[in-house]
Amino acid sequence: MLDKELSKIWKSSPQQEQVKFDKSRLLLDVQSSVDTFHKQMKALYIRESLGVFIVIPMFSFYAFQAQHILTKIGFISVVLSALYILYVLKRSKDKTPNQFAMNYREYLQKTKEHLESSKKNRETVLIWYVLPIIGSLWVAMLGMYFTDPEMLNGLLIMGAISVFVSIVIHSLNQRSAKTFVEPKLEKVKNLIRSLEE
Amino acid sequence: MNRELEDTFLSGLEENKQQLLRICSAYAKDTEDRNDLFQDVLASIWKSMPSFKGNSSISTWMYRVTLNVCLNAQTKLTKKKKQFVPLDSVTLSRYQGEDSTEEEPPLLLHLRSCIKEMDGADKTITMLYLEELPYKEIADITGISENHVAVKIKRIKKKLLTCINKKSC
Repeated sequence: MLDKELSKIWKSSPQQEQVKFDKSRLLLDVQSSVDTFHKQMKALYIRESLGVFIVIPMFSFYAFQAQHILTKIGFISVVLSALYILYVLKRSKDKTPNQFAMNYREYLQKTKEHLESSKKNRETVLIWYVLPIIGSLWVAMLGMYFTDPEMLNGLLIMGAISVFVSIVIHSLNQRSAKTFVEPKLEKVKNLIRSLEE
Repeated sequence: MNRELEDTFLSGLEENKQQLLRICSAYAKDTEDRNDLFQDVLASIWKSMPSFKGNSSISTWMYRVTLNVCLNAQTKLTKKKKQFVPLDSVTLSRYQGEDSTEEEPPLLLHLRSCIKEMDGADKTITMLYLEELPYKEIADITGISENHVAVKIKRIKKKLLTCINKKSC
């Protein structure tokens, strides 16, 4: 079969749908769509960062109010950890490929980098997210215990809850890295391989 | 956005709309998915227009954006289905001609099915080849050399014909 013939078959279909534009409205329409998209992205970023923005003033205040030095150190560490988490999330977000005008190979590379970074973040969530926060809270709780030993039972319950929450966060992220991100990453790697071979 | 870019956008779309829709069809699961993808493509092209410097033709540039949006739809990590709000000014309608009631020729169905079965990179190059783009343009869109494109197309043609013949039997 000749090249022309194949192309003709590809382009000809009696059931082909015709694309029609209302040109007078199209520009307004796409602009409004892009504006909505930007608003949604902004809202998503605010939603993602909201926890951190609440944690910072709240724990700064607690640190200021705390009596024991360990409690102060613990709460300040919570604030610093929250800032670090915000930084990691932003760094990961910056790797999201959004320059559609680059060539296919470059775009595949960018997508690969983004997926690798997302996978790594999920796999190491214990190190950059869970442990800094939980560790800081435990130091703060130790300070609270020294201030008032009668709080021991309450603090033990809080400690147990924090361990349980950590396990849940860690497991969910591990599962997500394996079942959600990894297949996509493999797909992109295969695409790059097949494009280059 | 200035008037010149608006004109380039509109004339580029007018010239390439059917080609872009065909590419979306190859990547979509069903008609609804294809329509969503096509609208995402239009909005993304508009969003990216300021980066169009005229170093390549508007068609090449639009193909590039379309392929990347199709790839993005398959690899994005957000679960949200639609990235952009629906565009009311875009309609897709069946051609009301004499042939509109005709069944699709088996050869076309085989060709589509063979393309769907291809792995991603081959699929991309096949579509560009079937759209009769010169090797230079395909190289520009995909980021591989012209020689590499030629070798790949030779291989793909062989695969495609074998697949079509197998399905035709």
